[in-house]
Amino acid sequence: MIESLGSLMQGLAVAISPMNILYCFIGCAVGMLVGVLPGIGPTEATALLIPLTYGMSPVSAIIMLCGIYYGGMYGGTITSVLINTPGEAASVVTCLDGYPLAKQGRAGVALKVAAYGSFVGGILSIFGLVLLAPPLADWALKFGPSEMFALLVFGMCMVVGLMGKSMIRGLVSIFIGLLLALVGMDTVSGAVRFTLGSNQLVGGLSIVTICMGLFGLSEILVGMENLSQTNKVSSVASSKLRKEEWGPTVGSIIRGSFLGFFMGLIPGTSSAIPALISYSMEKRLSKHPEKFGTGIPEGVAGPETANNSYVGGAMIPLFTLGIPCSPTIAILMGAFMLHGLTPGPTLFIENPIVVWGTIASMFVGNIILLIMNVPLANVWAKVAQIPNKMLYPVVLIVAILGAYTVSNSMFEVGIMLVCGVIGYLLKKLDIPMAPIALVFVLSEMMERSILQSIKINKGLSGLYNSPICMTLLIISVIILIVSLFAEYSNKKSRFLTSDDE
Amino acid sequence: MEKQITRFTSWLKKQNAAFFFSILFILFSLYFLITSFDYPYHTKFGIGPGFFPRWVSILAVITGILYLISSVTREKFSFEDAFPGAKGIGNVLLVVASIVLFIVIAPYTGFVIAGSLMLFSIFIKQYTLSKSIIYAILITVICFLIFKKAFSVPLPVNAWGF
Amino acid sequence: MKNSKLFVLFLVVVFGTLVLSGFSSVFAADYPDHEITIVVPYNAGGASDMTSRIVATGMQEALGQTILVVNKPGGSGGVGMSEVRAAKPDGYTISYIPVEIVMHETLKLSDLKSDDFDYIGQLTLVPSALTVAADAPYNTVKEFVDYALAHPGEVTIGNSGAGSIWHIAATYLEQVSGAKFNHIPFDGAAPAVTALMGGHINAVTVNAGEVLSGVEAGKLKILAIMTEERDPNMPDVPTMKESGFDVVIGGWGGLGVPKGTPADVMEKLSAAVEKATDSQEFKDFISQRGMVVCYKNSADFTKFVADQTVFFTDLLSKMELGG
Repeated sequence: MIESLGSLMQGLAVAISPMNILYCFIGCAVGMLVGVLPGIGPTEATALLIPLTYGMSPVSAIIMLCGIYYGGMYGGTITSVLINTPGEAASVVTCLDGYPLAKQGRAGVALKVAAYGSFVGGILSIFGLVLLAPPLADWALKFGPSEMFALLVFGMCMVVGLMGKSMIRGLVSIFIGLLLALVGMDTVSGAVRFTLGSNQLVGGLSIVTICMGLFGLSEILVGMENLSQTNKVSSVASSKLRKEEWGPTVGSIIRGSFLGFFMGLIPGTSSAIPALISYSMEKRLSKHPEKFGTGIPEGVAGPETANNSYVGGAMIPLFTLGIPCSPTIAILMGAFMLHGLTPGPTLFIENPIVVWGTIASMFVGNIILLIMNVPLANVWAKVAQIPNKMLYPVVLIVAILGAYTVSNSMFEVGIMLVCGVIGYLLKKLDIPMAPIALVFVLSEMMERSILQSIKINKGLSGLYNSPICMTLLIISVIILIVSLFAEYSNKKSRFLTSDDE
Repeated sequence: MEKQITRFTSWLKKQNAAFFFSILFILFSLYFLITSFDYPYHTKFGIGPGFFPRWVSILAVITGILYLISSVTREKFSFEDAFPGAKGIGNVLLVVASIVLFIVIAPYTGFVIAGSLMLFSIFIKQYTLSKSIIYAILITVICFLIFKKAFSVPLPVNAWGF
Repeated sequence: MKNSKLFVLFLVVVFGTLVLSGFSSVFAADYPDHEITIVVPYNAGGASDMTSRIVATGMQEALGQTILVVNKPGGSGGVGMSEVRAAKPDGYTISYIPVEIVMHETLKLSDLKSDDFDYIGQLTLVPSALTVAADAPYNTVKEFVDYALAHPGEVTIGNSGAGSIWHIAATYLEQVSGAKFNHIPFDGAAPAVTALMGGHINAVTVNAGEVLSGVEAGKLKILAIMTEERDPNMPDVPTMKESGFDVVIGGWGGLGVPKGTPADVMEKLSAAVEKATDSQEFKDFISQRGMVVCYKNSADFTKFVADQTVFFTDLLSKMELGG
């Protein structure tokens, strides 16, 4: 452990050389830009920039590419808060409280809380990476298909917490997500399902397109209804947290850090899962769960922290076992190889400077992001003040570009339009939309993992023979019962007060 | 004719939007349920690709029916409450139509012309003509430069490269 | 109302230019006189994508024109390749062609046929390797097969999706050896390798490059590689053939253009590809990824594709895939 800290100091010396700080800065800035632009996520940006790094030294190249990764994670927050348009699944839950905050003129609060949360989550997870890497990586390998299935069931139970006021409308939303996820080729059997004969749908629907349509476009359509009226622009309120908001926000950041870190370790998860679990957990623990969804800082802080500390966690399997946990990490792994480095335990021995330089640069990167974003939060907050008649068309064309970029085809724009119209109807009928997007992400993995588990074990024995799996399933059932009960009693109390609103 | 339309709209206003939506939802689920029978439920290797869709769509249909029941008993949403007047709907349809226009013409005209036209048709109701044209072209060109030039996204272009 | 008249005028101007643009067909100067596009029918960042991007950089130098690399993923490569098939055969739209092209017809993935394209040249060979956990009780293919014969249907082999080349490789081994495996599909090769490391499955038959880190970490061992000859990067790993099982199978990648591209254009492209695959950058990248640089010129590659089409069509018709 002490050794690790010593090596980290050496790495730090590499990371704070002016050139490397510059590369780290470029990476973070590009990452934020692509995070803000929908469609081009960190995965695509990293892939695009890899050829540019040929001439650079391996350390600098990796430092820059890592910068894109966590810069992108933060960039997605900005659009979610300001225009209710998540660029990726991980930011869907950020919309739930971030956008209402922005509507109250408190976009600055949401963005700052997210920046601080990301920073704390990032730093804590890097410490975890330095101190705990090898044993944790082995533990994470225990997550096979059966355990993965149990984890996803757990995630699904968390979605129940996002269902909103009415149970039945929440269920409708969940089932829309489940059905949409069925479209496309089934990886397990290779069967092509529900494509209406379209070649373009064989790969399934894209979460980015669905998010652009359901959240972004539907928001524009609703806004267009009364565009002609002089639109009320809420003034920018103070971007400081209120006194009573400090406690829960700090708590949610710390819980989110640990949650994201451990989820990052598990191969095959996506950063949407820790964000979702964090949000539900905060709601569950809160003294005022009914306020979630109306714009409270801890609803933004927890998930944002979790998806950033996920990055640090996800680096552990890469560095120790050479396993890429997520698509972006897979591309980073490609970058390592391009520079003649094979990620894995031998990398620590053969090229300690690269490994520790990279890890140290993540500290630097998180600090750069914090420095960039806290002042920027106020600038971004002003975006929310652009009059809607100008803002909406701009968002519209960017959303179209985002959808187009997903597969570089107009077909995707058409799908987005359909999702947008559906989203508009759902909004009108007060059916919550976050469950659609989240269930969509979870259910694809869920079907795959349960079928794999059944195939490997020739039956369901995989589920009850694994202690991790059983524990997760039991907790899920308990949570489901408790939350259903809570929803029920909540609703009763809301009936009494709803008339005053 | 006009009279009939007014009568129709006033009739529609009173109708229960949730009821109509629940029927749509049930039809949507039924499509999945019926199609799921095309995929084998069992294969000799175990559960087939029809298994998961079958159960999900059955549960979806049940949910749809429950929603239908609750829409007529408890959660009524008349169109009047949910949707704005004719003018608002007109604006919404305008946006939808302009996107459709964009999708149709962009492969021929290129992104810049199609995008400008789309934005122009939205701007023109809010701004003066000259402003609308300038804003529409400016915004489209900026987006074009960022996506096409900086990120080399292969946006559709015309013979002159835009 | 003045506004609406002007709006009509605006439309007229726009559509006027539109019509004119249709007539301004570009008369062919010396090829290439504008940017060339390479369509990769897979997602950004994958092995196929990276291979194409590096080749594109090399070809760009040779041809003196910008080459854009565009990802059109979906349908086992069907979406991207269909689009190139429909493009003008002028050499400005090129497709990355993966091994899957010879299977589309048999597996009914799309209506693509291998003779829909003219082939510029082959770039890579992607060998399959039989890999197991380091602490597994078998050290050779023979022992592995014996174990599988003694425990029919119990040995689990991971692949990167039903009908994928790695699934076919495992099925081929099954056919040659007479053993019965339990094939487990994953969403790509990396998750399959991860599951192997965690002990959730017994073996994988994916590309050697995917398991190298695991081998170095001491978690995995490669029993054999399914090529004709040993890989110079892994001289200790025997081939399947040496081990007594005549299994030579693997993926490959090359470049193709729509059928009917002029011969002089083909020549230029072919020369550019040869130059690009000869660069040190390309060679280093390919061998680090556990692939083999395998340049074939237009004629050889065309013949190779035809042979592979016969081989896979025959193989697939004997197999019972799916399920």
